[in-house]
Amino acid sequence: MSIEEDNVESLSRKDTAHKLPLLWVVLFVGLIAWGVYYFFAYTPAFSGWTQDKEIEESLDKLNLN
Amino acid sequence: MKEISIDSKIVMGYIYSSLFWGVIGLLIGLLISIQMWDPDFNFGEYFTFGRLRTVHTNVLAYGLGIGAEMGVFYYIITKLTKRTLLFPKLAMVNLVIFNIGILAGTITLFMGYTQSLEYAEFEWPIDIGIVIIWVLFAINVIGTVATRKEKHMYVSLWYILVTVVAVAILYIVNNLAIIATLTKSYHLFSGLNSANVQWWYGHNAVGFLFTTPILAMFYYFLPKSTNMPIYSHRLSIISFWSLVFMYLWTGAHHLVYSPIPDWLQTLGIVFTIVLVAPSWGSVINGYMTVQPDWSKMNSQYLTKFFILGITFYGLQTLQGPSQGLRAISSLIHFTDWVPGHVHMGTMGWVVLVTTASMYYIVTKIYNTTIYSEKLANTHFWLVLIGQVVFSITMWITGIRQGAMWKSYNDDGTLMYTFMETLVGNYPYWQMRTISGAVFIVGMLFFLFTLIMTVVKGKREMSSK
Amino acid sequence: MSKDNSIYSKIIPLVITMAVVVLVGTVITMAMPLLRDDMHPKLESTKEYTAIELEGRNIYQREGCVNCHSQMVRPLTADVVRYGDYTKAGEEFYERPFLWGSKRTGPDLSRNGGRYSDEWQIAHLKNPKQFYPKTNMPSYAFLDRPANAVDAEKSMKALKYPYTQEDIDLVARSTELEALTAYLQSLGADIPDNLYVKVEYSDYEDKMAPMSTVSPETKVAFVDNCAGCHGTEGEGTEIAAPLSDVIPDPVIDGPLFVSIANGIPYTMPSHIGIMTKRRIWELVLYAKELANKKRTVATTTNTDISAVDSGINK
Repeated sequence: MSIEEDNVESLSRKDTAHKLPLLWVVLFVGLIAWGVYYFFAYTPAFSGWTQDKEIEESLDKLNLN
Repeated sequence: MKEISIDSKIVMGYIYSSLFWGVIGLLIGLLISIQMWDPDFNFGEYFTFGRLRTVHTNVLAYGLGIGAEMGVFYYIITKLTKRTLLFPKLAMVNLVIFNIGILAGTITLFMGYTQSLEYAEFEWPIDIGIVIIWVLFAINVIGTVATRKEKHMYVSLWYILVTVVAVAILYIVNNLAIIATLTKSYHLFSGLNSANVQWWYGHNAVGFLFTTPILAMFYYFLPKSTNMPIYSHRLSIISFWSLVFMYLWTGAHHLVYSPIPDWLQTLGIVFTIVLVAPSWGSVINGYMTVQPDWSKMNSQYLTKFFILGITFYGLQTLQGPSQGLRAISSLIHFTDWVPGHVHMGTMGWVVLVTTASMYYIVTKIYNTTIYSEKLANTHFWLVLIGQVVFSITMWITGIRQGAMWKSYNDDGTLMYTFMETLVGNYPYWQMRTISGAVFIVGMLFFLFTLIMTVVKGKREMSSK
Repeated sequence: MSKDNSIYSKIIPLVITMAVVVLVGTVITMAMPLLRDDMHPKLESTKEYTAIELEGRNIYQREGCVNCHSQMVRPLTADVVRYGDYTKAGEEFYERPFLWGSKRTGPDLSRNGGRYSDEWQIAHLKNPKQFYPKTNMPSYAFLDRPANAVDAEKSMKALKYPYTQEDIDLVARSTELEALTAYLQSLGADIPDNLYVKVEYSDYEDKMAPMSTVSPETKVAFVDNCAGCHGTEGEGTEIAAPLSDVIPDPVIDGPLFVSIANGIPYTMPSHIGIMTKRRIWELVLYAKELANKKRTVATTTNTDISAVDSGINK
């Protein structure tokens, strides 16, 4: 079928093939660091935070009278 | 040369079939958008919103989405492996089975036969059909790649392979069911597990039907149509593996503030946020690819489809993760914000990249040029404007209603009844219908331009 | 690039690697939870669906109700005030599939059971506009047809739920509307008294409304929220008797306030979550006004206070 054969090698650049944009790497590492923090902060076994405690506290504050 | 090859016929067959289902799915989408603000547009039993919404999502995800992806994949694979499909006849037979399956599935959804699992609504007999279709597809894909004549495997092929593998796992597991009758089954998993398995499936259906396949197209057709090679191979490798690794952890972000255990929700949220990085790896790779010569946006009509497409992908993969955060979820979950988000992904990212890929394929298969660049540009602008207005309208609606739901009076009671929060949506929903109509007109321009290009190509062939 | 060809050029190892990478998250977040106790707790009050409830649930699924109605009250105050106690894991034990939904085009239904009467549910399903003229809910009048007892029994068998022949016979002589209503009335039953926001009756016993005029907004609120059942002039409909019949004469404002605020099980929904107390007191006045207007016309002495009583005795 092929009218022209793809030169697969030509689909990506040679000179920058191994480059990783620095900002992107910083973003990635930063997000992982944030992820570790968030996981510990919002997992009951580590921080004691629970969804149920949060709602019960906010319902206690609700004063209808 | 008078005739196109068997492989090209297969590719065109899938493209035509996807266009057919696309038109059906879009028109139903338009109808249900009207039903949102005028219930008198619900007709009888088979044309109520409850049933049609399911028809809309499934026809577009499976009929248009999968159909287009199978066709485009077959094209990419033959190019990147430098050989013909391993089993061309099987692919043809599969096309027929596929269309029978989508037709049968659509009819059963009209009848109300549904498993009530989003994007897995088809009842069990249709599921068996879908699995058969996918296995036949996988045999052809993996077989052709295994017997390829080009040693190097370009990144698009990895995205195609992981799509084949992941969809099979996802679809089979979530559709396990307790069968009651031919038309009725119950999820094998109950309660919290039903929810958790469904959204493990549901979110990854988005991942492996609307992300990885479209990235496969993006990585192939962007350099092909612009003649500009992809910026960084390493960036695409790292993005690829981290994306496919992280995606599977994220399903629970659909279940924030549900009775699902806290640790599971938190884990889902964490991976959802970190997923920004691999997603943006592809976005940056796309931008950096065009970086040496941005004038291509003007001079090569397909470039803007891909660059705007990857831009919406970039916005999508910032907005989506943010929705997973508890604070944001508490405001926008259950509101129109979420359909607004989904439609930016499908109408922006998926449609722009897929339609541009189809333009490219058709001009190559028929060895011709596009029928009219002007019409293709009209298609581009209408689809772009329709989608942007649609998405923004839905976000405003969502924030508006979400905020009204939690507005309090001074004495601690809620300020609005549900009905009061609903009627305020109507003007926005009318706006959505209008922008959806603009989008559909854009898609009709696409349809016309694509078909006229085929006609033009055929004419040129026969005159040779 | 050709140097990283090792794994990327061998298809079988590559596909297996992909499967493994995809399965890590799958196992930890999807498969492992299947085996954990915290994923399938059960409340003592949580029971299997009866045959007619399951048939109703099948209809709920078939009509795609889940596309517009959620069944999951989030642990957020605004959700709890509007709908009732937040959804507990243990309630979900028999949910196959779960029907939490992902969009609230209509209100959440997980605390719907007992909020309205069966008659209201059926009339509302048939013609939602009768109660909410501006609603976008379609009419489900076509469900006024026999329910499918044969399939309902197959469903009960498939799910291994206990049932008797009587249960199946009940389905056989019910309409789909009645089956769907039975299901809707079962929602939230696992958590009795799930209305979170309530006024205590004792506070309002013998209390008179703290104002004497009815604002125009309250009259609008009456039309929007009450007229569907009570009629725009309180003249009554097939759902509710005229106000002049249900409000005793003379009436103490306190109990009437409590009835409107907390609702009356299987009769009238509660309003305290979504209206200020002042608005409800004004509705007390307005309801009395409408009832008295009717009485002076008809000079009716026949009063029925049972509805109000049932609210008090809760």
